Amino acid sequence: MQTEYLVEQGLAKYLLPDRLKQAGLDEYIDEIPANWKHDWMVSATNWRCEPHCPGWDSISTLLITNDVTRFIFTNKNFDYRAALKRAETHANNNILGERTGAQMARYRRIAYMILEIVLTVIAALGWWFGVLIKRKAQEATGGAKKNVTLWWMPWLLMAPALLSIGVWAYYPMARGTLIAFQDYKLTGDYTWVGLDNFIKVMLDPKFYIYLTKTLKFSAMTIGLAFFTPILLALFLSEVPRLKIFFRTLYFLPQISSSIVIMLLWRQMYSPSPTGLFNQLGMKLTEIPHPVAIAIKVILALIVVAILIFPFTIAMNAEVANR
Amino acid sequence: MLCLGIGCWYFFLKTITGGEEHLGLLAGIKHWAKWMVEGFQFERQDWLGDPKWAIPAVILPSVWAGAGIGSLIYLAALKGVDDELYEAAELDGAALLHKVRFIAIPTLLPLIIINFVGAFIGTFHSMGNIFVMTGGGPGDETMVLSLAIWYQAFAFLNFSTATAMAWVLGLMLIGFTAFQLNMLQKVEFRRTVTE
Repeated sequence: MQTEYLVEQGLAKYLLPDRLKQAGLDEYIDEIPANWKHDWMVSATNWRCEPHCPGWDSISTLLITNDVTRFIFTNKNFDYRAALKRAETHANNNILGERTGAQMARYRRIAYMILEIVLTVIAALGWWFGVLIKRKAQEATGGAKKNVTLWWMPWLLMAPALLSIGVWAYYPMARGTLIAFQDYKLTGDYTWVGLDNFIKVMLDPKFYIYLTKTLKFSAMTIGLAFFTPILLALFLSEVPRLKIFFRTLYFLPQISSSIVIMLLWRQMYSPSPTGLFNQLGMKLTEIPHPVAIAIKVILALIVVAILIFPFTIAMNAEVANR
Repeated sequence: MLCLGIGCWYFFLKTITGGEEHLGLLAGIKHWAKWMVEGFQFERQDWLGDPKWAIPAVILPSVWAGAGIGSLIYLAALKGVDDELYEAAELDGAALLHKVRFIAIPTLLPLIIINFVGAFIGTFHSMGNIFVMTGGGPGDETMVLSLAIWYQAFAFLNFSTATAMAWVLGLMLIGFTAFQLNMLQKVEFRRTVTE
C-alpha cells in the first residue's frame, strides 16, 4: 500500500528496488539512478543493527556524531581512531556508569561534603538577606513597631498572589528538583540514587567543555551585544535631525518574531554561493585594487579610533580632575 | 568593566586575525601590513559550520535584534538629562568627550549595572537562537550548557542528569543573583523626565 501510494506520488526513484519488486512494480526500477541502486545494494548487504542500550542516543549524538563523524568529513588529517577510543572510554565511564563500588563510595563522600558546604553558604546568604530586609523595614517604619491589631490581614490580602506563585512556580520547581536525586524514567518506577547524578555530571569531561563554551559565549555576547546599545544611544542622542526616523528604524527589528529573525539570518549565512554574506564577500573581491586599499586604510583608522576611545575618555577625565 | 571590555576585544580580534595560531606581535604586524597592501580577498565560508566563525555568527543576529530596544531604553534615560547641564558644561569649556564622560555615563550608570547583571545571567540561560542556528555544532563549538541540558532532557530523555546539570549551573549563578538583588535594593527609581 505504502509503496503504491509513494509511486503514485511520483517518488518511485527514491524507493528501495526490493520494495518495488515486492509490490509488482518492476517497471519503475529503471527510474532509479544506477549509482543509487549500487548504494542500496551495498547497504543492504553490509548493514548492522545499531546497538541498543540505555543512553545510546546520547552516545551516538554527543560522542560519535559531534566528536568523530563531523570531523572526518571536514578534516582530512583527523585521527579518528584516537577519537573513537576517547568516545569509548567516555561512554563507559560517564554514560553507562561503569565505575566500581569503592570509587563511587569515595566520590559520594566528597559529594556530600560539597553539598554541606553549598547548603551552608546558601543558608548564610539567606540569613544575610533576612537581616538586610529587616533593617530596611526598620528604616522605613522609623524603628517604631506599628500596632497592627489584625496581624493576619496582610497575609490574607497577599494570599492569592502567594498561592499562585507557590502553585505555579515553586511547587513545580521543588517537584522537578526531586528528579535530580532519582534515577528517573518517563514510564515505570524510579529509584532514589542520592547524589549520583551530580557526581556523574561533575565527573563528565564534556560538562567542563560546555562550561568553557558557555563562558566564551557569554563573554562575547556581553562584549558585542551589551555595549552596542549604549554606544548607539549616545550616537542617537547626538543626531541633529530625523530623530524619530532613526528611533523607528531602531525599533523595527523588535516587531518581528525572534525565530523569524534567526531563520532569516540562517539563510544569509548559507554556505552556498547564494548566501548573502558569501555574495557580499565575492562582491568585495571585485573592487579595484586602489579603492580596496583606500577602504582598508579608512577601516583601520576607525578600528584604532574605537579601540583608543575608552583611553581618551580616561585621559580627559584625568586632565579635567587636575 | 574595562578588563572585561578588553577581554572581549581580545577574543574578537583573535577570532578575526586567524584564530588558533598565535602570530606574535611582529609577525602579527607583518600579517596586517600584508593585508593592507593587498586587494580584498575572500573565499566562500561556511559561516555556521566553521568552528572559527560559529560563535560570532550565532551572536550577531541577537546583537542586531536586541540593540534597537536596548538603545531606546538608554535613550530614554539620556533624555531625562536637563539641557541646561550640557549648556553649563559647554560654558566651562567641555568637549564632546567630557560631556559623555561626566554627564551621559553617570546618568546611565545605574541602568548599565542593572542591565549588566540581568544580561549576564540571561546569556547563561539563552539557548533558543543557538538551537535554531547551529543546534550546538560544529562539533561542540556552540554547545552551551543550557543547550546541553535541553539535549539531555528532551533528546536523550535523561531527565535526572539534565536536572542535576541545571542545578549546578543555577548554583554557579547564585552569586550573581545575590549581587543583583543587593544592587536593586540600593537603586532608587525616579522618573527621568521632570515637568
